Amino acid sequence: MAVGSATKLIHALHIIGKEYICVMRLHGDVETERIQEVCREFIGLIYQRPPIRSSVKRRLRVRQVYYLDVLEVERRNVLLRIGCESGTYIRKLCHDIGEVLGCGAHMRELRRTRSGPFTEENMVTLHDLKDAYVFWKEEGDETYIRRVLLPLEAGVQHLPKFFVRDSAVDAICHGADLAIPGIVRIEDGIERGDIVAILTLKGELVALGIASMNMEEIVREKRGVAVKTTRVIMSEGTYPKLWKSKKEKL
Amino acid sequence: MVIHVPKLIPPGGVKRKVVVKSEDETSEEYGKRPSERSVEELLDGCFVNIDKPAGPTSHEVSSWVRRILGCSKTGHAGTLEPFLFRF
Repeated sequence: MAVGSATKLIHALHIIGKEYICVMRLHGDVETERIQEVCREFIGLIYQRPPIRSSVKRRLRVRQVYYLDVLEVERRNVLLRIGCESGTYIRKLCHDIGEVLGCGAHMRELRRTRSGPFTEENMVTLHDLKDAYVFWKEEGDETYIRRVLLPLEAGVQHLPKFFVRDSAVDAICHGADLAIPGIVRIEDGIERGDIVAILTLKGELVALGIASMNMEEIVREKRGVAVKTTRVIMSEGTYPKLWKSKKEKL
Repeated sequence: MVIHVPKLIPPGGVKRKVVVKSEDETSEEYGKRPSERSVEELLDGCFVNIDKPAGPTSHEVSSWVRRILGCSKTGHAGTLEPFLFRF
Protein backbone atom coordinates (compact mmCIF):
# COMPACT_ATOMS: atom_id res chain seq x y z
CA MET A 1 0.00 0.00 0.00
CA ALA A 2 1.44 3.33 -1.00
CA VAL A 3 0.90 6.36 1.24
CA GLY A 4 1.13 10.02 0.18
CA SER A 5 3.66 10.80 -2.53
CA ALA A 6 4.53 7.07 -2.79
CA THR A 7 1.35 6.67 -4.88
CA LYS A 8 3.35 8.21 -7.73
CA LEU A 9 5.60 5.16 -7.69
CA ILE A 10 2.92 2.51 -8.13
CA HIS A 11 3.22 2.38 -11.91
CA ALA A 12 6.90 1.46 -11.53
CA LEU A 13 5.86 -1.66 -9.59
CA HIS A 14 3.99 -3.00 -12.61
CA ILE A 15 7.14 -4.05 -14.42
CA ILE A 16 8.26 -6.40 -11.68
CA GLY A 17 7.08 -10.00 -11.42
CA LYS A 18 4.81 -11.30 -8.66
CA GLU A 19 4.92 -14.52 -6.69
CA TYR A 20 1.86 -16.44 -5.57
CA ILE A 21 1.03 -19.57 -3.61
CA CYS A 22 -2.14 -21.15 -4.85
CA VAL A 23 -4.33 -24.20 -4.26
CA MET A 24 -5.65 -25.72 -7.47
CA ARG A 25 -8.52 -28.19 -7.30
CA LEU A 26 -8.64 -30.81 -10.04
CA HIS A 27 -11.97 -32.13 -11.29
CA GLY A 28 -10.64 -35.64 -11.80
CA ASP A 29 -7.87 -37.97 -10.64
CA VAL A 30 -4.53 -37.39 -12.35
CA GLU A 31 -1.12 -38.88 -11.61
CA THR A 32 1.37 -36.58 -9.94
CA GLU A 33 3.94 -37.01 -12.74
CA ARG A 34 1.39 -35.91 -15.30
CA ILE A 35 0.54 -32.79 -13.28
CA GLN A 36 4.21 -31.86 -13.02
CA GLU A 37 4.71 -32.46 -16.73
CA VAL A 38 1.79 -30.20 -17.70
CA CYS A 39 2.83 -27.48 -15.24
CA ARG A 40 6.29 -27.41 -16.81
CA GLU A 41 4.66 -26.60 -20.15
CA PHE A 42 3.21 -23.44 -18.64
CA ILE A 43 6.63 -21.94 -17.87
CA GLY A 44 7.73 -19.23 -20.29
CA LEU A 45 5.50 -17.12 -22.47
CA ILE A 46 1.83 -18.06 -22.30
CA TYR A 47 -1.29 -16.81 -24.04
CA GLN A 48 -4.11 -15.87 -21.75
CA ARG A 49 -7.60 -14.49 -22.22
CA PRO A 50 -8.72 -12.75 -18.98
CA PRO A 51 -11.62 -14.55 -17.21
CA ILE A 52 -15.26 -13.40 -17.51
CA ARG A 53 -15.11 -11.70 -14.14
CA SER A 54 -12.04 -9.58 -14.60
CA SER A 55 -10.80 -6.04 -14.19
CA VAL A 56 -9.43 -5.60 -17.72
CA LYS A 57 -10.60 -5.88 -21.30
CA ARG A 58 -11.03 -9.52 -22.31
CA ARG A 59 -8.65 -9.87 -25.17
CA LEU A 60 -5.85 -12.39 -25.62
CA ARG A 61 -2.68 -11.31 -23.84
CA VAL A 62 0.82 -12.69 -23.63
CA ARG A 63 2.26 -13.12 -20.17
CA GLN A 64 5.58 -14.41 -18.85
CA VAL A 65 5.63 -17.21 -16.26
CA TYR A 66 9.07 -17.33 -14.63
CA TYR A 67 8.56 -20.45 -12.56
CA LEU A 68 5.72 -22.79 -11.66
CA ASP A 69 6.55 -25.29 -8.92
CA VAL A 70 4.28 -28.12 -7.80
CA LEU A 71 4.88 -28.07 -4.04
CA GLU A 72 2.41 -30.72 -2.94
CA VAL A 73 -0.28 -32.97 -4.35
CA GLU A 74 -2.92 -34.25 -1.98
CA ARG A 75 -5.50 -36.19 -4.01
CA ARG A 76 -7.25 -33.56 -6.12
CA ASN A 77 -5.69 -30.56 -4.40
CA VAL A 78 -2.48 -29.24 -5.87
CA LEU A 79 -0.32 -26.65 -4.12
CA LEU A 80 1.54 -24.41 -6.55
CA ARG A 81 4.14 -21.68 -6.27
CA ILE A 82 4.02 -19.34 -9.24
CA GLY A 83 6.33 -16.52 -10.27
CA CYS A 84 4.80 -14.51 -13.08
CA GLU A 85 4.51 -11.17 -14.79
CA SER A 86 2.19 -8.54 -13.38
CA GLY A 87 -1.28 -8.92 -14.87
CA THR A 88 -1.33 -12.72 -15.10
CA TYR A 89 -4.60 -14.22 -13.95
CA ILE A 90 -3.82 -17.20 -11.71
CA ARG A 91 -7.50 -18.20 -11.73
CA LYS A 92 -7.32 -18.52 -15.49
CA LEU A 93 -3.93 -20.24 -15.36
CA CYS A 94 -5.43 -22.99 -13.12
CA HIS A 95 -8.37 -23.30 -15.50
CA ASP A 96 -6.04 -23.66 -18.48
CA ILE A 97 -3.86 -26.25 -16.70
CA GLY A 98 -7.08 -28.19 -16.07
CA GLU A 99 -7.98 -28.02 -19.76
CA VAL A 100 -4.61 -29.45 -20.78
CA LEU A 101 -4.87 -32.19 -18.15
CA GLY A 102 -8.25 -33.03 -19.66
CA CYS A 103 -10.16 -33.20 -16.39
CA GLY A 104 -10.65 -29.49 -15.72
CA ALA A 105 -9.54 -27.54 -12.64
CA HIS A 106 -10.22 -24.37 -10.74
CA MET A 107 -8.43 -22.15 -8.26
CA ARG A 108 -9.50 -22.65 -4.66
CA GLU A 109 -7.24 -20.31 -2.78
CA LEU A 110 -4.65 -17.74 -3.65
CA ARG A 111 -2.14 -15.71 -1.70
CA ARG A 112 0.37 -13.27 -3.06
CA THR A 113 3.71 -13.90 -1.37
CA ARG A 114 5.88 -11.40 -3.16
CA SER A 115 5.59 -8.28 -5.25
CA GLY A 116 9.09 -7.11 -6.06
CA PRO A 117 10.67 -5.76 -2.88
CA PHE A 118 7.59 -6.52 -0.78
CA THR A 119 7.66 -10.02 0.68
CA GLU A 120 5.81 -11.89 3.41
CA GLU A 121 8.61 -11.07 5.84
CA ASN A 122 7.87 -7.36 6.11
CA MET A 123 4.10 -7.79 5.98
CA VAL A 124 1.79 -6.40 8.69
CA THR A 125 -1.93 -6.77 9.38
CA LEU A 126 -4.31 -3.81 9.60
CA HIS A 127 -4.48 -4.40 13.37
CA ASP A 128 -0.68 -4.13 13.65
CA LEU A 129 -0.82 -0.90 11.68
CA LYS A 130 -3.50 0.58 13.93
CA ASP A 131 -1.63 -0.47 17.11
CA ALA A 132 1.67 0.93 15.84
CA TYR A 133 0.00 4.23 14.97
CA VAL A 134 -1.70 4.53 18.36
CA PHE A 135 1.54 3.70 20.23
CA TRP A 136 3.26 6.50 18.37
CA LYS A 137 0.44 9.09 18.48
CA GLU A 138 -0.64 8.58 22.10
CA GLU A 139 2.45 7.30 23.84
CA GLY A 140 5.21 8.73 21.68
CA ASP A 141 6.73 5.31 21.05
CA GLU A 142 8.20 5.28 17.55
CA THR A 143 9.61 1.73 17.54
CA TYR A 144 6.58 0.00 16.04
CA ILE A 145 5.48 2.61 13.52
CA ARG A 146 9.04 2.78 12.17
CA ARG A 147 8.99 -0.94 11.54
CA VAL A 148 5.72 -0.62 9.59
CA LEU A 149 6.35 2.45 7.43
CA LEU A 150 8.83 1.57 4.70
CA PRO A 151 10.61 4.56 3.11
CA LEU A 152 9.75 5.53 -0.47
CA GLU A 153 13.03 4.06 -1.63
CA ALA A 154 11.80 0.54 -0.75
CA GLY A 155 9.48 0.77 -3.74
CA VAL A 156 12.25 1.38 -6.28
CA GLN A 157 14.75 -1.24 -5.11
CA HIS A 158 14.10 -3.28 -8.25
CA LEU A 159 14.85 -0.43 -10.69
CA PRO A 160 18.31 0.39 -12.08
CA LYS A 161 19.62 3.40 -10.18
CA PHE A 162 21.45 6.61 -11.04
CA PHE A 163 23.23 8.44 -8.21
CA VAL A 164 23.64 12.15 -8.91
CA ARG A 165 25.60 15.12 -7.60
CA ASP A 166 24.04 17.45 -5.01
CA SER A 167 24.29 20.26 -7.58
CA ALA A 168 22.06 18.40 -10.07
CA VAL A 169 19.30 17.53 -7.59
CA ASP A 170 17.28 20.74 -7.49
CA ALA A 171 17.25 21.10 -11.29
CA ILE A 172 15.72 17.61 -11.54
CA CYS A 173 13.20 18.54 -8.83
CA HIS A 174 12.12 21.37 -11.16
CA GLY A 175 11.61 18.84 -13.95
CA ALA A 176 14.94 18.98 -15.78
CA ASP A 177 16.33 15.86 -17.45
CA LEU A 178 19.47 14.26 -16.07
CA ALA A 179 22.56 15.07 -18.14
CA ILE A 180 25.82 13.11 -18.10
CA PRO A 181 27.88 15.60 -16.01
CA GLY A 182 25.44 15.22 -13.11
CA ILE A 183 26.00 11.47 -12.76
CA VAL A 184 28.32 10.10 -10.06
CA ARG A 185 27.47 6.38 -10.04
CA ILE A 186 25.20 4.13 -12.09
CA GLU A 187 24.18 0.49 -11.97
CA ASP A 188 25.23 -1.68 -14.88
CA GLY A 189 23.02 -3.27 -17.51
CA ILE A 190 20.97 -0.15 -18.23
CA GLU A 191 19.37 -0.08 -21.65
CA ARG A 192 17.66 2.73 -23.52
CA GLY A 193 13.95 2.79 -22.62
CA ASP A 194 14.34 1.29 -19.12
CA ILE A 195 12.49 2.84 -16.21
CA VAL A 196 15.19 4.06 -13.83
CA ALA A 197 15.36 5.72 -10.40
CA ILE A 198 17.38 8.88 -9.77
CA LEU A 199 18.81 9.08 -6.23
CA THR A 200 21.02 11.47 -4.30
CA LEU A 201 24.36 10.36 -2.87
CA LYS A 202 22.55 10.05 0.47
CA GLY A 203 20.21 7.52 -1.10
CA GLU A 204 17.08 9.71 -1.24
CA LEU A 205 14.77 9.22 -4.20
CA VAL A 206 14.63 12.32 -6.42
CA ALA A 207 12.65 11.19 -9.46
CA LEU A 208 11.82 8.40 -11.88
CA GLY A 209 12.78 8.61 -15.52
CA ILE A 210 13.35 6.75 -18.76
CA ALA A 211 16.95 6.07 -19.77
CA SER A 212 17.73 7.68 -23.14
CA MET A 213 21.17 6.10 -23.46
CA ASN A 214 22.60 2.62 -23.05
CA MET A 215 25.05 1.84 -20.29
CA GLU A 216 28.08 1.93 -22.65
CA GLU A 217 27.07 5.32 -24.05
CA ILE A 218 26.70 6.79 -20.57
CA VAL A 219 30.17 5.57 -19.59
CA ARG A 220 31.72 6.85 -22.84
CA GLU A 221 29.97 10.19 -23.43
CA LYS A 222 30.95 13.47 -21.75
CA ARG A 223 27.66 15.31 -22.36
CA GLY A 224 24.06 14.84 -23.38
CA VAL A 225 20.84 13.76 -21.68
CA ALA A 226 21.08 10.33 -20.06
CA VAL A 227 17.65 10.16 -18.41
CA LYS A 228 14.36 11.83 -19.35
CA THR A 229 12.64 12.76 -16.10
CA THR A 230 9.06 11.45 -15.98
CA ARG A 231 7.99 11.61 -12.33
CA VAL A 232 9.45 13.98 -9.74
CA ILE A 233 9.13 12.78 -6.14
CA MET A 234 11.36 15.09 -4.08
CA SER A 235 10.00 18.58 -3.41
CA GLU A 236 11.76 21.62 -4.85
CA GLY A 237 14.14 23.42 -2.52
CA THR A 238 15.27 20.32 -0.60
CA TYR A 239 18.70 20.86 -2.15
CA PRO A 240 20.07 24.31 -3.07
CA LYS A 241 19.50 25.73 -6.53
CA LEU A 242 22.89 25.83 -8.22
CA TRP A 243 21.89 26.56 -11.81
CA LYS A 244 21.44 29.98 -13.35
CA SER A 245 18.34 31.12 -15.18
CA LYS A 246 18.65 33.12 -18.41
CA LYS A 247 17.75 36.32 -16.60
CA GLU A 248 20.56 35.94 -14.07
CA LYS A 249 23.12 35.35 -16.81
CA LEU A 250 22.26 38.70 -18.42
CA MET B 1 9.33 6.96 -33.72
CA VAL B 2 10.41 3.91 -31.80
CA ILE B 3 8.44 3.18 -28.66
CA HIS B 4 10.44 1.34 -26.02
CA VAL B 5 8.58 -1.11 -23.84
CA PRO B 6 10.20 -1.15 -20.41
CA LYS B 7 12.08 -4.34 -19.66
CA LEU B 8 10.26 -6.72 -17.30
CA ILE B 9 11.96 -7.77 -14.08
CA PRO B 10 11.49 -11.25 -12.52
CA PRO B 11 9.93 -11.47 -9.02
CA GLY B 12 13.28 -11.87 -7.25
CA GLY B 13 14.78 -8.79 -8.93
CA VAL B 14 18.13 -8.58 -10.69
CA LYS B 15 21.62 -8.24 -9.15
CA ARG B 16 23.39 -5.15 -10.46
CA LYS B 17 26.91 -3.87 -10.07
CA VAL B 18 27.62 -0.20 -9.45
CA VAL B 19 29.82 1.66 -11.93
CA VAL B 20 31.53 4.91 -10.93
CA LYS B 21 31.21 7.62 -13.56
CA SER B 22 32.83 10.46 -11.62
CA GLU B 23 33.90 11.30 -8.07
CA ASP B 24 31.89 13.58 -5.83
CA GLU B 25 30.76 13.84 -2.23
CA THR B 26 27.49 14.91 -0.71
CA SER B 27 27.16 17.80 1.72
CA GLU B 28 25.57 17.19 5.13
CA GLU B 29 24.08 20.71 5.08
CA TYR B 30 20.97 19.65 3.20
CA GLY B 31 19.00 16.54 2.44
CA LYS B 32 18.52 13.61 4.80
CA ARG B 33 19.25 9.89 4.60
CA PRO B 34 16.04 7.84 4.33
CA SER B 35 16.80 6.14 7.67
CA GLU B 36 17.01 9.52 9.45
CA ARG B 37 13.52 10.69 8.47
CA SER B 38 10.99 11.49 11.21
CA VAL B 39 7.70 9.61 11.41
CA GLU B 40 5.87 12.70 10.11
CA GLU B 41 8.18 12.83 7.10
CA LEU B 42 7.65 9.12 6.49
CA LEU B 43 3.88 9.64 6.52
CA ASP B 44 4.25 12.11 3.63
CA GLY B 45 5.49 9.29 1.47
CA CYS B 46 6.00 5.64 2.33
CA PHE B 47 4.91 2.09 1.67
CA VAL B 48 3.04 -0.23 4.03
CA ASN B 49 3.15 -3.92 3.21
CA ILE B 50 -0.34 -4.96 4.31
CA ASP B 51 -1.37 -8.57 4.87
CA LYS B 52 -4.81 -8.20 3.36
CA PRO B 53 -7.41 -10.63 4.71
CA ALA B 54 -9.67 -12.49 2.26
CA GLY B 55 -12.98 -10.66 1.95
CA PRO B 56 -12.64 -6.91 1.70
CA THR B 57 -11.39 -5.50 -1.60
CA SER B 58 -8.04 -3.77 -2.03
CA HIS B 59 -9.93 -0.55 -2.53
CA GLU B 60 -11.66 -0.89 0.85
CA VAL B 61 -8.41 -1.77 2.61
CA SER B 62 -6.82 1.24 0.94
CA SER B 63 -9.39 3.56 2.48
CA TRP B 64 -8.95 1.95 5.93
CA VAL B 65 -5.22 2.51 5.81
CA ARG B 66 -5.90 6.12 4.85
CA ARG B 67 -8.18 6.47 7.87
CA ILE B 68 -5.80 4.77 10.32
CA LEU B 69 -2.86 6.94 9.27
CA GLY B 70 -4.94 10.09 8.84
CA CYS B 71 -3.33 10.89 5.51
CA SER B 72 -4.91 12.24 2.35
CA LYS B 73 -3.69 9.82 -0.31
CA THR B 74 -3.26 6.07 -0.52
CA GLY B 75 -3.14 3.65 -3.40
CA HIS B 76 -2.63 -0.05 -3.84
CA ALA B 77 -0.90 -2.28 -6.31
CA GLY B 78 -3.06 -5.27 -5.56
CA THR B 79 -4.06 -8.23 -7.63
CA LEU B 80 -6.79 -8.27 -10.22
CA GLU B 81 -8.72 -10.78 -8.12
CA PRO B 82 -11.51 -9.18 -6.14
CA PHE B 83 -11.83 -11.55 -3.20
CA LEU B 84 -8.52 -13.16 -2.31
CA PHE B 85 -5.43 -12.65 -0.19
CA ARG B 86 -2.93 -10.04 -1.16
CA PHE B 87 0.08 -8.27 0.30
